[in-house]
Parts: sequence; structure tokens; C-alpha cells
Amino acid sequence: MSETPTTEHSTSDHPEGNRKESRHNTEDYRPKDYQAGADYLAEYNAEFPLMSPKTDLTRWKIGPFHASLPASMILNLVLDGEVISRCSVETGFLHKGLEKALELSPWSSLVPYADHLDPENAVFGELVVCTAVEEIAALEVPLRARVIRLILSELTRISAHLSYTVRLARSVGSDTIVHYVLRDRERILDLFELLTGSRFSLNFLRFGGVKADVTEGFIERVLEICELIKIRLKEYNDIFTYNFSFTRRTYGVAVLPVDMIQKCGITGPNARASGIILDLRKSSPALGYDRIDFQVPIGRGESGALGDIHDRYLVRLREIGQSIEILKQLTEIIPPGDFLEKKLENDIKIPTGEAYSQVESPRGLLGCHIVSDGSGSPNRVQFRTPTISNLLCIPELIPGTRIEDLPVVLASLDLGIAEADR
Amino acid sequence: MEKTLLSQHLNRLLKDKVLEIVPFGRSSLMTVWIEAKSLLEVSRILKEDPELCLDWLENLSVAQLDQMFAVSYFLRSYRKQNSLVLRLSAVPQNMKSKIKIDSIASFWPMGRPMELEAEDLFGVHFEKTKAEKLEKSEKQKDDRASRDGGDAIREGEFQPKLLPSGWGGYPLRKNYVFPGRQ
Amino acid sequence: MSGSFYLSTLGRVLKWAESRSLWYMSTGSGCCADEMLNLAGSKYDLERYGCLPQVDPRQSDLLIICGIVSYKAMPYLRNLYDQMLTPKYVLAVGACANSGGPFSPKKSYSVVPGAGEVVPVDVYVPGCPPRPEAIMNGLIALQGKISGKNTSISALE
Repeated sequence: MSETPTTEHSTSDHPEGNRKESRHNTEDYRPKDYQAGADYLAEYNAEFPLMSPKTDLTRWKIGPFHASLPASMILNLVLDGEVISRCSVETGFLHKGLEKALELSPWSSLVPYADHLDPENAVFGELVVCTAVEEIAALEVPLRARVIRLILSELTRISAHLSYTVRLARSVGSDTIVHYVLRDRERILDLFELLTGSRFSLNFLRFGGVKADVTEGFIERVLEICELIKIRLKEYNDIFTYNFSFTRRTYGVAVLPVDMIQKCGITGPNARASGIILDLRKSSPALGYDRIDFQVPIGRGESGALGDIHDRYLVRLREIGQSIEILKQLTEIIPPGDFLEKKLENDIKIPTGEAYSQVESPRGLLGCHIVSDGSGSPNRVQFRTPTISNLLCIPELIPGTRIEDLPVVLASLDLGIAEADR
Repeated sequence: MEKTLLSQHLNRLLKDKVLEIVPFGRSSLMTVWIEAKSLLEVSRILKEDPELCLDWLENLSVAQLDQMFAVSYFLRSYRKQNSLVLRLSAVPQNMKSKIKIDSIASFWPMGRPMELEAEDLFGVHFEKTKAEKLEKSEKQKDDRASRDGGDAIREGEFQPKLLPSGWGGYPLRKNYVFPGRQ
Repeated sequence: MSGSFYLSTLGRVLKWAESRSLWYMSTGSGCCADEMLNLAGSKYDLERYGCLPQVDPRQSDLLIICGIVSYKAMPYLRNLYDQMLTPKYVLAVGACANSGGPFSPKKSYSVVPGAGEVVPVDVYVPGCPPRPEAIMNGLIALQGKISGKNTSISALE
């Protein structure tokens, strides 16, 4: 009882790292009748058993504006100590009424509104809408325009996954990698500005092709960016991906099992990280990826648990690598030709009909159902966004995790509330 | 599955519940029109058939054409390459009243948030069956977390409440007048 | 706190110091919030103007509203503004926060036509989304408004 603490073991073997042993003997500071007090307490507890300390449950409502939430949403939590035991999600704070606004506007303003659906991945909103309208009106898209659309899609995919890295790193608390990644993301946004004139809401696709041809130095700059990002991926791995604190916080946390994925209908990198091979780029040849050779990265479970946060992050990093390969092949096969079949007037009328088109966006499967009745505005435009399935799995995924892991889990699911609320 | 094979298979499975099988626009999808009252039986048959195996509801969309509301279910399969569009039509009594349709959330749970959104925006109310409602209230009685007083959080729900409470009218209907413009 | 309570030179110095260290809290999400993320990055650095990002309204002087304000979120935004301590300022960034933008009352039923209906706004920055340099321009105009010097945006000397 009165041993002095020894320093036989070295400090690096200590489970807490470099903490030095205290030089004071803490047992000297206890009261003298400590042992008698402990016996009395044991007798008392035997007569009146302690109630389990888990009887009190805390209810906590995390409101619309909070730093740990990705956007405006309300989380009602029931906490059992520090472990979450129940959860319910409410969204709807970013409802813009996009679908009604599209019914009141002419057909030519469908594209500018559609890239406000999910502002980070604006090209995919335009792409899914243009594909649906071209199916209704039987418009042919020339091959050069198709390749330009694919180049823009893959650049947006790289930019979206880099932005995911920034959000995940901020939630974990490592701010170093944030500035490195944002510096490289600016180079991609500069490319968008070179081609279309605007960094985010591009408004570049048209029914039947794209708005303008590629400028002179564009293809060379795309190849430069590919080389740059390939080198930078190694740098991010050195700084962040296998960092001790990051792996400790993300190995084995919030594992998404396969039955939950199939029950909620989750698609995209979240599903691929748990081992499901589902990618629209490979399974649906209408998108135009059939002549390009690339692999679909799926989670490998290096941490021991397949489908945890680290797997979801690694799948997206590997997708960046694959997008670079796709971009290199696209710049080789781009054919000469038209970029737009026929320039349509501002007050065109699309014939009666309907169509449902699907695209593989960086968050998952994005779909659009358009109904046209032959007049100057669409009858119904309905978007099927991938975030709505990711939000559905939250009340089943979160119970069991600790409250300090909550921001990391929410950031790892890649929730785009702006597109879920439309 | 090929188109002709698929329509023959569906006609054999569903017999008299099918009103019509037509192609969907210009694509290779098939649309199956059914009546609203046979929705639950048809969904069970389509989900449990070993050849079709349609266990993924990708999209649920409601559209209004004149007085008629058309509800479309876009179904897919995880294991096989089948896909299908299931459609039914409903007419309300007048343009301000609700429409009641059975809910398919017991077969395809991923469709529940889309049903809640359609209820907010169009006034199409998807009703749970009586068996589901009883099961849920019994579950909540035993649960310790519901004994904490105040209003209980409903067990694990995602509620996309797009409109604030007390909003009058259904915005996406064609006769909706914007607030402040009479 | 108003400068007229002090001697005029001291008041001017205090106002100058206040305008050069506005700690901001940014709300909203969508297109303009992505531009705020880029503003905090290394290429367009907002921290060199003294603006430190905060997450608590009680410790910030400036509220930056990027993106739409919907009727459902309106009371929560007002609550956020009321929690801030005077002197406080508001910057409305983007067309949607100025006047509803593409979601004006003619086209949309659930967007408040401008953040000015909810909180008193000091500076409006137009654009959809505005470039990071335009947002910095708005911040410099706000600094001019606080310190009483250049109240017009075009005089940036």
C-alpha cells in the first residue's frame, strides 16, 4: 500500500503514450479512516442496493444551426450517459419549392434551376435533367458533346470527394489537411471557370449538347491537374489518412451492415464501402462509360470491420484515383465534331411524354422523372436524391455510438441536405 | 428480363389485377397499371416471386394530370436485372380533400420518407395497415426510453417535414394559390 | 457602445479597432456556403482581415447569412440573432439572402423574400454565388460603414 511508484518500464510502453508517472504518492492524501469508511459503505449498499445509474435519460434536441450538423436539420436524441440510445431526424429547413418553381418556368430555365438542386455537384443535376428531356424529345447528342459532359462529371467527382475530405477532417478536428486540400480544389474550380465562366453553378449543358466548345488550352490543363492530384494524394496519405488520431477515431465506428443498406436503399460510395458492388457507370451503358477501362473501388475492411468510417473515406480516395485514369482516357478519345446539334429557341415546346433518367453522382444514385404535356413548361419534375436514403439509416445507425463520435459519423455519411429538401 | 417474357410472366402472376401493360415513354421499361385497392397484394406478389425478386423501391413519384393523380412506383431488383414501373390512379372528391392509399412501407421500408413528402405536398395520405399500428404501439409500451415523460420520440423515424406545421393547402397541386397573392 | 460617449478621437480609434476584428458566424447551406468554405481556405483567406470563424453566436460580432431563409427556419434565425451581443452586424450574401433570388415569391412558396425581413441587414452582397473576392468587397464596405470612413463600395482606397 505504501510503495513508491517505480519507473521501471519506459514511458513509450505506457498505454497513454508519453505521460510521465506522478512523483507524489497519492495514497498519502487519503483520509485516515478511509478503510473504515469503505466497509461502512459496503454494508450500506448491501442493505439499500444502489439504483442503477442508468435510470436517468437525458433528452437533447440539437437544433437547426449547430456546428456538428452538416446543414440545417433537427436531431432529437435520448442519451444514456454518453451513449446515444435513440434518435430521430427532422429535415425540411432548406425547402425551396424547386419542383413547383420548375412548373411555372419555361423549358429553357430548367437547366439553371437544376444546378441549384445540389450545388456542390451541379453538373450532375444538369446532366440528369438534360438526359431525361433528350429522351422525351428524341434529340441526338453528338459524340464530342458527350465526352465533354463526361470530362466535367469526372472533374466534379474529384472536387466533391476533396470537399468530403475537408468536412471529415474538420469534424475530427485536424485543420492541417483542410488547407492543403482546399488549395488543390481551387485549381479544379479554376478549370471550371476557364471553360464555363463560373465556379459553381455552371449552366453549361443544353438540350442536345453543351453550350460551347472547349477552349484551346483546356485539355492540356486537365492533364496537368491529373498529374498534380496524383502526387497530392500521396501527400494526403502521409499527413492524414493513416494518422494515429484519425485512425483511432474512425476504426470500427458506425459500421453500416449490408442488411441495413438493402433496407434503406443506400447507393453510391457508402454502399460500396460495405462490399456491395453497385455502380451505374458499369451497369448502365447509356451513360457512356462502356469504352473506358477503369475499376470500381470497394471497401476492403483493413481495420477489421468492413464498412466503418475509415472504409468510406478510403473508397472515396480510391475513386479520385480512378477518376484520374478515366480523365486521361477521355482526353485521348475526344473526337472532332459538333458540340450542339441544333440551337433551340427560348420558348421551345417539348412534345408530350415522360422519361426517367439516372446518373451516378458522387453521393449515390440521382434520378429524375419528367412528365411533359406539350406546353411551354413541364408538367412535373421530380428528383430522386441519394441523400434521402442516407438520412433514413441514421435512426438505426447511431444508437450505440457515443455522443463524441456523432459529428464524425454525420460527416462521414456525406449528407447533402440541400438536395434532400429540394 | 426481356419485354415480352416479362409481360407474359406478369400476366400469369397477377391474372385479373392488371389493367394494362404499356411501355414507359420511349425507354425499355414497362408500366403496369393496377387499381388502388389491389396495391398491397400486388406488392407482396412482386416482392416474393423468386424470378422477379423486386426488393428495391427506387423512386415514388406523384403527378397530376387534369383531375387525376397518378402514383408511380419505380421498382428494381438487387440480385437480378429486372426493373418495372407500377402505376395507379386516384381521383379525389374535390380539389381540397385528401386521397387515401395503402402504404407499402412494410414491404419496402425505403419508401416511407417519399410517402411522407407526397403527403405534405400533394395531400396523398398513405395509411398504415391496422396490424402495423398495433405492433408499433405495443413495442413502445415496453421500451424504457418511452417512460421518460413528456412527448416521446417515435421509435427511429426520419421525418422530412417540408412545410411548417399549420400550412394551408397542398402546394404542388395545380390549383394552389401562393400565399399573399389572392 | 457608441463613440459619441467618448472624446471624438478615442471613439474613432475604438471604432477602427472594432471594424478590423469582426468575429463571424456563418449560417445557411447550399451554393453560397460552399463559397464560404473556399473563403476560409488558403487562396482567399478571410482571417487576414481579422475575421475568426466562430460557432457560438454569443461570441461573435458578425452574422453572415448565405443561402435561403425558409419560413420553417425563420424563428430559429431570429433567435440566433437575438442571442448575439451588441454591437452586432449582419451581412447578407447571395441573391437568395438579398431578395429570394431565383426563389422569389412569384416562383416559390416557402422562401422568405430576403433575409432583411427577419433580421436588420447592414450590407448586401449580390451574386449567385458571388465570387470570394466579391464577398471580401462586401466585408470591406462593412468595415467602412462601422468606422465611418468610406461608405461607398466603389471607393476602396
